Amino acid sequence: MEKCFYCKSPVSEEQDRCPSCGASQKAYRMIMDSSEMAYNEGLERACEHDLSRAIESLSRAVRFNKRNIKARNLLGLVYMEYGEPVLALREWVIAKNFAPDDELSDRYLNSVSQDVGLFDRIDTATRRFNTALKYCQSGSTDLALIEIKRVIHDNPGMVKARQLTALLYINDKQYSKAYNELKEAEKVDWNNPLTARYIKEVKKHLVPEKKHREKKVRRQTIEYNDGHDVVMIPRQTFIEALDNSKSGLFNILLGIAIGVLCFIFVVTPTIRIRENEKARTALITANNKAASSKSDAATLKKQVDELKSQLDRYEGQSDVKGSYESLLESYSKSQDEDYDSASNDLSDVNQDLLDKNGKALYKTVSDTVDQKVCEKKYTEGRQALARHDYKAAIEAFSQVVKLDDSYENGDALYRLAEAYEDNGDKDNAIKYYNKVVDKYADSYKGRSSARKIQTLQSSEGE
Amino acid sequence: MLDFDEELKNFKPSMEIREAEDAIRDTDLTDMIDILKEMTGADRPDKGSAGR
Repeated sequence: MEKCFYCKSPVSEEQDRCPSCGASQKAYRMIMDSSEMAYNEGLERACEHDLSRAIESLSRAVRFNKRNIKARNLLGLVYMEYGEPVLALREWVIAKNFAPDDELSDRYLNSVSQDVGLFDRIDTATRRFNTALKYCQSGSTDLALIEIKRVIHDNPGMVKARQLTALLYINDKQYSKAYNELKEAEKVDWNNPLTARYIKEVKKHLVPEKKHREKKVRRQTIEYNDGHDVVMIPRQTFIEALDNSKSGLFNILLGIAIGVLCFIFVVTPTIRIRENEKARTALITANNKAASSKSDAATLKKQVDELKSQLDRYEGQSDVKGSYESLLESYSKSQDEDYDSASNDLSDVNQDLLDKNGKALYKTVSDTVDQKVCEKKYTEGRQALARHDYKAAIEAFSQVVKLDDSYENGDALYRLAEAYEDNGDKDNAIKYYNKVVDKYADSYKGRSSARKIQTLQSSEGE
Repeated sequence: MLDFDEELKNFKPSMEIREAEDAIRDTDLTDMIDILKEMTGADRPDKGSAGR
C-alpha cells in the first residue's frame, strides 16, 4: 500500500486523495510517472548518444522528482561523457546524499576519485576551455585556437570544446577544418542543436568549394578529335605519366630528351677536349715553324750582310780609272821615298782592272814599296822588341809577314812568333812557330821553333 | 553567415573542480513534489505543518 506524500498515511491505489489529509494523490502519481517517463526518455537518448537531449530529459526527471536516483546517476554519467565532470560529480554526490546505500553512485564516485590522473587531466582541460573562451571574448582568436586544441587533446569528448573550435575555424573561413571538428562532436552527441546548426552553416560554404574542386578535376582532362570521335583522356602529372605503361610515346620522347642531354653533358665535353688538344698541338707546331723560320731568316740575313760587305769591299776598290790613278800616285810617292803612303795607295788598286803595262808597273812599284816597307817595319819591329814593346813589335812584324812571310829567311815570321810569346799570346805564338817549322825545319829557327812549341804546349797542359 | 560574437554567447564557462563544492551547495533541489506539498499545505492551512 502506498503512503500519502504529505502525511505519510496509508492510501490505496484506487484513492485519488488521501483519506487522512485530503492531499491529491493523483497529482503526486502524475509527477512520479512523469519523472519515470523522462528518465526512460533520457535513458533511450543516452543509449543513442543523443547526449544533450538526454541531459534535458534526465534533468526534467530529477526536476519532477529529486529523489529519482536512477535518473540522477545516469545524468551524472551523461555529464561525464559530455565533458562536464563537475556537473557529473554534483549529480552523483546528491544521489549519494539522498540514497546513502546506493551502490551505483558509490561506484561512480569511487572510480573518479581513484583515477586521479584522469580527473586532473579533465579538470585541466576544463580550465583551459575557460581560458580559451576568455581569449575568444577578448578577440584573441589565435591564442584561443591554440588553447582549445590542448583542451581537445586532454578531453576529446568535450562537445563544447569541439563546437568552440569549429566556431573559430568558421570565423577564420576554414570550413573543412570546422566540419571535421563538428563531425567529431557529432560522434559524442549526434543530435546537438548547436552542432547541427554549425554543420548546416559550414555545408553552405563547403558545397561551392566541392563544386570548384569538381570543375578543377573536369579541367584535368584532355579532349581531342581523331576524325570520328571526340576522345577524352585524363591529364596526367609527370609522375603519373612515368608510371603509366600506356604512355609509350611520352617515354620515347623522354628517352630522346635524356639521350640529347647525355650527348650535351657527356659527349660534347669530350669532343671539346679533343679539339682543344688539336688546337694546342697545332699552336706548338706553328710556334716551332715560326722559330725555324726565324733561324732561316737569321741565316739569310747573315748571308745578305756578308754579300753586302763583299759588295762594299768591291765598291771600296777603285774602278779602272781610280786604279790607274792610285797606281800612278803610288809610283810617284815611291819615287819620293814616301813608302807608307805609296803602300796605302797601292792597296786601292784593283789589279784585275789593269792592262798588261799597268800590271807590270804595279809589280815594279809594289816590289819596291813592299821591300822598303818590309825593311822599315822589320827595323821598327826589332826596335820595339828590344824595348819590350811587344804590341808594337807584333804590329810591325805582322805587316812584314803580310807582305812577305819569308822576309829575312823567315826571321820576320820567327820574331813575330817570339813577340806573341813574350806578349803572352800562346795560341798565336804556336801558330807562327808552326809556320816557321813548316818552312824552315832544317834551320836553327825551325828547330828552335819546334822546341818552343813543345815548351808552350807543355806549359798549357799544366 | 554566423555572427561570431553572438555565437560566443552560447558558450558558458565550464565548472572547475574547485567550484564543485559551491555548485553542489548552491543547487536548487526543489522538485515538483516539493511544490505539490507546498500547494497542498497552502490549501490546508490548519494542517499545513503535517507533511513537514
